[in-house]
This record gives sequence, C-alpha cells and structure tokens, in this order.
Amino acid sequence: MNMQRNFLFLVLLAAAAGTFALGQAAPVGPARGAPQSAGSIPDFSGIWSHPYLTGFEPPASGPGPVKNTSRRPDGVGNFQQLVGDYRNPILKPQAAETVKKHGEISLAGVGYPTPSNQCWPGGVPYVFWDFLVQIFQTPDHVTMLYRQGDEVRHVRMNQPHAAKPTPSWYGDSVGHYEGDTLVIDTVGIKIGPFAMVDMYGTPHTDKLHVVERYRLVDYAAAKDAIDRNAKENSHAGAAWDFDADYRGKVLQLQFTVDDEGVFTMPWTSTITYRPAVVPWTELICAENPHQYYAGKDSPIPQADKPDF
Amino acid sequence: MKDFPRRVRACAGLVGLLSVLSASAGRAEGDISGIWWGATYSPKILVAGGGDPPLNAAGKAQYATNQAGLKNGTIVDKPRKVCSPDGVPRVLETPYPFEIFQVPKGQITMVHELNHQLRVIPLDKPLRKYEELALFENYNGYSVGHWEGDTLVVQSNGFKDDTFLDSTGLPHSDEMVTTERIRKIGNQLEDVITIHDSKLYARDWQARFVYNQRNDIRIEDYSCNDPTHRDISRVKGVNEARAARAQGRLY
Repeated sequence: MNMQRNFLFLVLLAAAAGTFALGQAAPVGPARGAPQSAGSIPDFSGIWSHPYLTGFEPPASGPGPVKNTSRRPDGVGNFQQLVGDYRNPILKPQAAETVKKHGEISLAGVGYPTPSNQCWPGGVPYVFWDFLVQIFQTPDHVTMLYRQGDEVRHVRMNQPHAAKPTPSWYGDSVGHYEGDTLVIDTVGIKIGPFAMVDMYGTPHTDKLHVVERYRLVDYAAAKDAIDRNAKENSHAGAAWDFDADYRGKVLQLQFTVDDEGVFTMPWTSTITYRPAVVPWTELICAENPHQYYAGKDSPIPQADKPDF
Repeated sequence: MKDFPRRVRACAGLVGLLSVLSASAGRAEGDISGIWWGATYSPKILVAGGGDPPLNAAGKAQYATNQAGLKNGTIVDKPRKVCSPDGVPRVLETPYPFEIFQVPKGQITMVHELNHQLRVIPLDKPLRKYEELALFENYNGYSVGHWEGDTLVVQSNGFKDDTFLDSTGLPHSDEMVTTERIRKIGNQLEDVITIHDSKLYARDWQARFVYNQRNDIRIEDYSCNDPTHRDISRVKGVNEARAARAQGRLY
C-alpha cells in the first residue's frame, strides 16, 4: 500500500513539475526571460487582472479620483449609471461643470460617449479601467498591452521627454526603475473627440501629466486597497478573472494625475491587479459599432482614405 | 518490502528525467525577439513558386464578389477603414514594423504598429478544434506554437471569414488553417506560411515573407484615422500600391 502511494505521489510530482514549466501565467520572484539585464529589475510578466468598473481605486488618504454618486443598494458604485461627483475638490469650476453635465445625461436614463464605448484610444489614465494588462520589459523599452481593442503603450526607458512632444494617443512615456518600482512619466497626451481621464467625463487639457509607479506587493500589504476597491467598484464578472483565493504577490499601480487646466491639485489612485486565470483574448471594439437604443452607429475612428 | 528502495529510486529517476526533459525543452529555441520591418510590400500576395493563388470554383466566385464590392464601395476594407485587425496572412504583408517578445516563457507575442494589432501565441498547447472556435472566431485567429530547433512553428485557425488574405480582396473561409515556419536567418526573419483552406482553394499553397531586424527604431502609436503615420514610402512597392489604389487598379 505504501509503495503504491509513494509511486503515485512521485508521478503526480513529476506531472506537476512538467506542467509548471509550460505557460505559467502568474509571475513571482526574480526576473526571468530572454533579454532582461541582470540584477534586481522586478518581473511584471504575465497577464494581470482588475475586472472592476469604473476601475480607479480610492486612495488611503489625500485627494482621489472622481467617484460615482449613483450607488447600488449594497453601497458599491453603480456602473450602469455614471454620475460623477462634481463636488470633488480636485475639480476646477469648468471641469466640475463638465462632470455635472455628463452626470445629468446618465440621470436622464441615457449613456454618453466615452473613449471605450466609442472604440477610441483612451490615453492615460483612462485606459487603466481595462480588465487585463500585460507588461513586456526589454532593456530599453517597456510595452504595455490592454485587452480591449489591443491598445498598446510604448515606454522609452532611461531617456528624457522629447523637448516638445507631438501629442499622441498615449503620450510621450519615459520610464526608469527605482529599486523594485517601475516609474513611468507621461506627458503629451492627445485630446481626442471624447477625451476624459475617467468614465465620468472628467476632462483634461494638453497639460495632463501622469506618473505611474508599478510594484509587486504582498497580498497582506495590498489588502486595504483591495477592500477599498471592492467597496467602490463593481466586480465585472468572471471572464477576465483572478483566483479569489490567491494570496501571492499582487501588482499594484499607484498613479498621480496633475493638470493645472482642470485640477486644483494633484490626485492619486491605485489599481491593484491579481494574476489572471484566463488567457488573453481578442476583443475588437470596431466589430460592432451599432448603438441599438439610438438606432445608429457610433462615431468610431475611421480613416478618410486607406493608408496604402 | 526489500523492493521498496529500488522502486523509489526508479521513480526518482523518472522524475529526474522528466524534469531534465521539460527544462531542456525550454532551452531549445531560436531568438526571434526584437523589432522587424519588411523592406518590400505587395498588395497582392505572392505565391511561393509563382502563379496565382489556386482558388477553386467557389473561391474564384468569392474573389470576384469581393473585388466587385470593394470596387463599388459596397464592401468596406475594414482594416484600412475602421482600424480592425488585418487577419492572417494579410498582417504578414504589413509595410509597418512589428515587435516580437519571447518573454515571458511559454508565450510569443507579436505587437504590430499597423492598427496596433496583436498576435498572442501560447507555446506547446494543442491546436483547438474548428467546432470549439466557430462561435468565437478572431480576426487574427487562434494560434499555438512550438519550437523545432531554431524554427518557431505556428498553427492558427478559428479565423473570422470576413478578412481578406491580401489587399486585393483574396478570400478565405472560416475553416482555414495556417502553418507558419518562422526563423532567423542572419539579420533577417523569414516566415513561410502554408494556407490550408479546402473550401476555397484547390490545394495547400505557400507564401514567404522576409523582414529586416530593426532594433534601431521603436514601434509607434498608430490609429487608422490619424492623418499622418510613419513614412513607409521607402518600403519597396508601397508607392506603386498607393498609386494603383488611387487609380482604381487595385481590384
């Protein structure tokens, strides 16, 4: 009996060792992978999941993002009715008015266009709403992928900003490591037709400046942010999910936003990602631009003429 | 009882062997990472060995329908109009650069500048069945890859059937299965793709693409509606293709 059990145990151990080597999505521990430079660069590889709407986590203290005044009976923000709190003291009067107007559209029972529902690139920090992100670290640049619409951000490492960056959808992003933290500084974010920094319609100007800090954090240390997130944002369902019992390291993004054109002061927020238990899938927004309730197509990005 | 140590040693040996095999499977691969950019572009896919794509009768009819619709505007060339992905192999024809990541282990990811489209290729997984994918077809299909020495072999299926195989409207069905053999030759990347689509083609056929390593540049933002993009006029064939399109000679 003991022999059989030992044999079975060893076979299972071998099988586990075999499968662990293949396609493991959850990254923990020191840097791996082909072209990494040696040493202590943190390894953020893998698919990271934060399937919550409207996404931004309230900070532990200090000025934070616009929140939804429309709440569900359980107290969580009602993502089906986006009514941004225009009284948030971070908002200058004109910005507050814009947020108020968006809220009034929702209160009238209609939706308003956002980058994500009109298939436009979101820019930062807007795109941080996305449920899945992948980060590819190579020595002189970092590439970040967001699932909806295959959105891609390119970060030049250890270089200064261009003197006068040409505005682009995701801006001019430069990054560097500070020990275990990846720091990304972005300016030059283009103002598109539905430009907003969050899903409440909070506007921005060409002075928008976003600093991101990414770090792998022990679950226990991140628990407060995870709890704050669960009280504020709705869990958007199982398709992009993480393992609720996961207690390993999480990837925490802490970001600071300033824009003297619309904000009275800088404000911060976090996104606390857990390893995804689902594969990356193709999700192309332009596949179906039809607005069923309005009976027309959304004004999705369109080329005037084919590029080639 | 006296057999016990021998069986345990045998099992330990088996575990050891399996561990070595899985570790060495990870090590036996080429390096196709980095930024790649083709030096030539053709709006019509070039069949390896010459000649036209071997469309069968149904394929010829579909091609004619596609071309007529593209010519009179009733069919929209979606990748060029609303920024959707090109599909495979049309994305291989791209006159824009792309980047290949070989990290993390177990996955190859290709990030294209054109329409910022992606190809995510898990390694050492089985190709999924048509029936499993038929309700969830992708523009760029579902790919799985494995290494054969220094060559990455990528199989793809589960394609939406409303993409074209090239810029002239060459059709394919949703039963198409493609196999690519991708390897580095000096400073170039070669991708030989085999198209298998018995609904619209009389036989399997191949096309070959070659890209130059261009780690001196960076992939840039690209939205199809932007008025300007990277200058691709020095990619041989682009100016002719743009002229052909402008003069109505593409279809």
